[in-house]
Amino acid sequence: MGSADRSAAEHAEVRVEGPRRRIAMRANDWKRLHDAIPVTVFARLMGLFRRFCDGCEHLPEQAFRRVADDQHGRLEEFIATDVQVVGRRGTDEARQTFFVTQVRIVSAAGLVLQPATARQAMLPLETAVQKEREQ
Amino acid sequence: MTEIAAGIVAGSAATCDADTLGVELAEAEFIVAVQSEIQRIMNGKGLRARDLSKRLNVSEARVSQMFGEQAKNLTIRTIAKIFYHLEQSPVLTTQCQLDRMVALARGDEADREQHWTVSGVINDIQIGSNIVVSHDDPVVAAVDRGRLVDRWARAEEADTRRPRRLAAAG
Repeated sequence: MGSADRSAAEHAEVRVEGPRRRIAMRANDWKRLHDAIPVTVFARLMGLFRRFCDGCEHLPEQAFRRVADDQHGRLEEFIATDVQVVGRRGTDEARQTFFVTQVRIVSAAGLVLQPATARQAMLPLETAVQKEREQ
Repeated sequence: MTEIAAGIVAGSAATCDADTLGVELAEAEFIVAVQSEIQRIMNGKGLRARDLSKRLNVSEARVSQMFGEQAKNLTIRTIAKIFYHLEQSPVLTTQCQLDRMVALARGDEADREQHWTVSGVINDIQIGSNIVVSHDDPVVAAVDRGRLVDRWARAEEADTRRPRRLAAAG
């Protein structure tokens, strides 16, 4: 899909801006950060974003690090409780932009949901009692 | 987490008032600032969490908690202790004060309105190139700045016994 085909909500826009860097994110992801996570977690992420945009290179590893399973080694992630904001840095600008590619939110409600379909077919109900009756 | 509308969770940033959000943001930013400053010093000295835990005589897990989201155990006393063991002295200031100091050091536009009173006999004072000495006589003001104040202040002293002029950052 080309950029012209994308809806306004799918275009990344600058959401946080500092003297050294900016963070660009799609409207949907930005809205999810506002709507779907506790305010304390949101504040933590904003604190990290702003510090990052100020040009800080020393955010704690617990909060910002390279994505472990990224083949190209370009993806980095901001981490807060149950939230990962994954993205990569643009390199061809005077003021670096961190493009958010994915916002992963582990929903507490999502953890207890059952899968839509059974993972395997129902097993035949044969118990020791039934076998005894047959005999 | 409880959903109160389509996709909006109770207690999220979208549902809380501006004051609550402001306080949360202020807390989080301050915590991140302290954590990243400690991390910067540690990186500079090539220290890891394990090294810091030994110096503080606490477990590595406890140090890890200090850098976490909740910043558990990161009290003012602990921060002071950490800086001591990292052989650094922390300085606490406000953004406003910091901006002023930076502007003063650089002679920025931001401090154009700042005025100082220069009084007394001044010998061989060197004025930075960013400082413009205001004077009634435009010819005097245009002369080289380094030596100007010396002559001018002495002249004032001789003339009026009340040397008093303004210098403005430009």
